[in-house]
Amino acid sequence: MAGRKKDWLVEVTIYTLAGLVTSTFVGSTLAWLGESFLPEQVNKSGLLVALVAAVVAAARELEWISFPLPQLKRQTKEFWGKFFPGRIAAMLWGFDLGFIFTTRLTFAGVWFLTVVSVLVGEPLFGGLLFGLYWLGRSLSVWLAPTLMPNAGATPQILGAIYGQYQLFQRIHVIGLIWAIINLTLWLAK
Amino acid sequence: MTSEDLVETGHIVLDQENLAKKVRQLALIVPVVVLLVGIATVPFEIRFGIFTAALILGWTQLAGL
Repeated sequence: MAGRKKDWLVEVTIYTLAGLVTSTFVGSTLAWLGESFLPEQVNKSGLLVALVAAVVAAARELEWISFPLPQLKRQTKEFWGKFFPGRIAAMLWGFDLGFIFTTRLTFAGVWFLTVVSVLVGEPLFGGLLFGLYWLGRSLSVWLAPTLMPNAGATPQILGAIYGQYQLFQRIHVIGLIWAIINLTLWLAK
Repeated sequence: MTSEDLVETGHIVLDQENLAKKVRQLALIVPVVVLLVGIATVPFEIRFGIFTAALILGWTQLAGL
């Protein structure tokens, strides 16, 4: 039992770190693109565009407006878990999901983060932003055992999470409103 | 349906309700803690607010796993 716990801990750590590598790469690349191709410092006009992006994303998740999210309609490969040892599969899943845009997106907020990263144009900022987005995403894997009544309960838990889709959508809106407040403060500085 | 079946069904329904309640609690606890950290750190650096927002946005991706 202790061995299984240790294996789980190692695999989740590998998954988290692998995703952190690719998500910070994505964030810092987006910011580097902004730094390289946008005219000088975007400053206040850029923050205003980011603010509009956050408002549009929040309006979409509040279902005031409707538009399809630009995204690849694929999920990560479940079969990696059957073909590779646990640690390798965890690493591949982490790398794959950490790329963010190569798999299905649930809500619009990640596009807001993209706009902010590009417009602020600081690779360190972009990397941190997407790294934290990933840590928020992978936190669910760390906390899943607190929901587990037994080892075979994964389908039940996934069902319970899907059942709270609207709650997660509302929390997503709260995240966007919090971002809007901070962007407004940043603009007012 | 026997009385044992009824008891079993009752247990399953109760388990599902407990699980849904736990998911709701967990779904809310994480953003509340992150928001509090954000509120505490924003006065020092405004970007911490955007960083904590990113964490909340990532957390909610859970609904689409």
